[in-house]
Amino acid sequence: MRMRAASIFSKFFLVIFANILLFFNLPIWLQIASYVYLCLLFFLARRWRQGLTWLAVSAVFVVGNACALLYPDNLWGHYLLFLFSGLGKMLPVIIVAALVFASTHVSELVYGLRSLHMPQWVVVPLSVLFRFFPTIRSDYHQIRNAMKFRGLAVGGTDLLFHPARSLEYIYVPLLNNASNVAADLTAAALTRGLANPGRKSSLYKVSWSLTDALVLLVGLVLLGCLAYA
Amino acid sequence: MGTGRTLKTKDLVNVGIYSALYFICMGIAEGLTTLVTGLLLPGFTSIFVPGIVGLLAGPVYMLLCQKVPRFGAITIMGILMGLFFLISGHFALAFIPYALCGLLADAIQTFAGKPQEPGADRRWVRVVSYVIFTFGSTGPVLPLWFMKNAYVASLVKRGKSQDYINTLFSHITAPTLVACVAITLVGALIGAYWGDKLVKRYFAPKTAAIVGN
Repeated sequence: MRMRAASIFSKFFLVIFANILLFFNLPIWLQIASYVYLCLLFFLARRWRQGLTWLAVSAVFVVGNACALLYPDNLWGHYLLFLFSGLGKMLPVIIVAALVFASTHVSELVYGLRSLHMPQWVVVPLSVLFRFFPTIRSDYHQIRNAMKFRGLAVGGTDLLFHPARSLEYIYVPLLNNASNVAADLTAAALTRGLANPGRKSSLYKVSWSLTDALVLLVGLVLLGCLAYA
Repeated sequence: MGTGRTLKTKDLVNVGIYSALYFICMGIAEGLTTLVTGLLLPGFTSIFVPGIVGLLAGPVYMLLCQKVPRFGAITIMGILMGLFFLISGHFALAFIPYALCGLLADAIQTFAGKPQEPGADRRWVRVVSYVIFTFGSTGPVLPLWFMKNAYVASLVKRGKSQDYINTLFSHITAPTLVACVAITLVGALIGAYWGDKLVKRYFAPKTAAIVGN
């Protein structure tokens, strides 16, 4: 039997879970457990490489944290501690964000937000934002390529010496494209009846599965350990 | 161009798009500042971030003002940014300033920024509203000053030595708070004027043709 990937409801739970972790200082075994738990979800979504990458990153932070505390209390020790405990604290949140971005369809997100009874003025901008991020990235690369092709701001020096001009070269096409994309997305959204006030149907089957139950259970157990640790 | 109308789907899509761009500006500002100050002035990063956000996001904001000249757009953008802070572990404290600053900036922009006669341009209104909006991004930073004691207490509990804590918080003082506010103000002002110039030059309404070559 193949397990289904975690549904959008589990992801909402994970966001809360990661945020609760921020408020506590975890003992090391619990840290490792929660990192592994979060990374396993990548494997469920069949994102093997990403899951392994995040596992490796977590391992670096766990080791780094342990080493930073052993390091003498001098300036470098501060640096290390600052780096590892500061960033390491944010790591669960970052992993969850990566997970949500890697394994969620916009439709699923819209469905999830709707089932939380979010108002239209939150659902529409949020889903557009979610959809638009990858576009910005590819746009940026294309703009940079076009600039290189014309010999503009090829090195980093131009960005340093003529920041306003170089930024202009990047901003204007990016913003121009954004307004085009806005028009396209509006058309697409209206076509799909996003503005329709009635009950919506969803192409994606979003339902609870065994995975969600397990995710919830393990998450709650971890939080329980947190309370006793 | 009535400000009385509610936002349509088209406007909401626009808000989403420009919020995404604004968010990217925020991410770049955060990353850049951390990189530069981390090497030169460790620990001072948080003081510069809001100012750099203000410096970078001007064009995005100004274009949103032009595309959606109705009440609500900037408020929603503020709320979305606040939501991001909220789910990235900055506590509710970071959410409230952004939402409030968004609302305030929006009110100023839509009610004071209405051109009285056609052709009249209220640039200073846009600049002021942008500066206010930028102050929303100080939400994650301000607790450093106002919740210092709680943070110190948690460090003491972890068994950190007193001088360690002193070193850590040596730069979280009243002067640096003033500096943070000043830097934010300056960054936002420059960003506003630069953004406004850019938008006027390339995205002037009613003329579809792009100016320049």
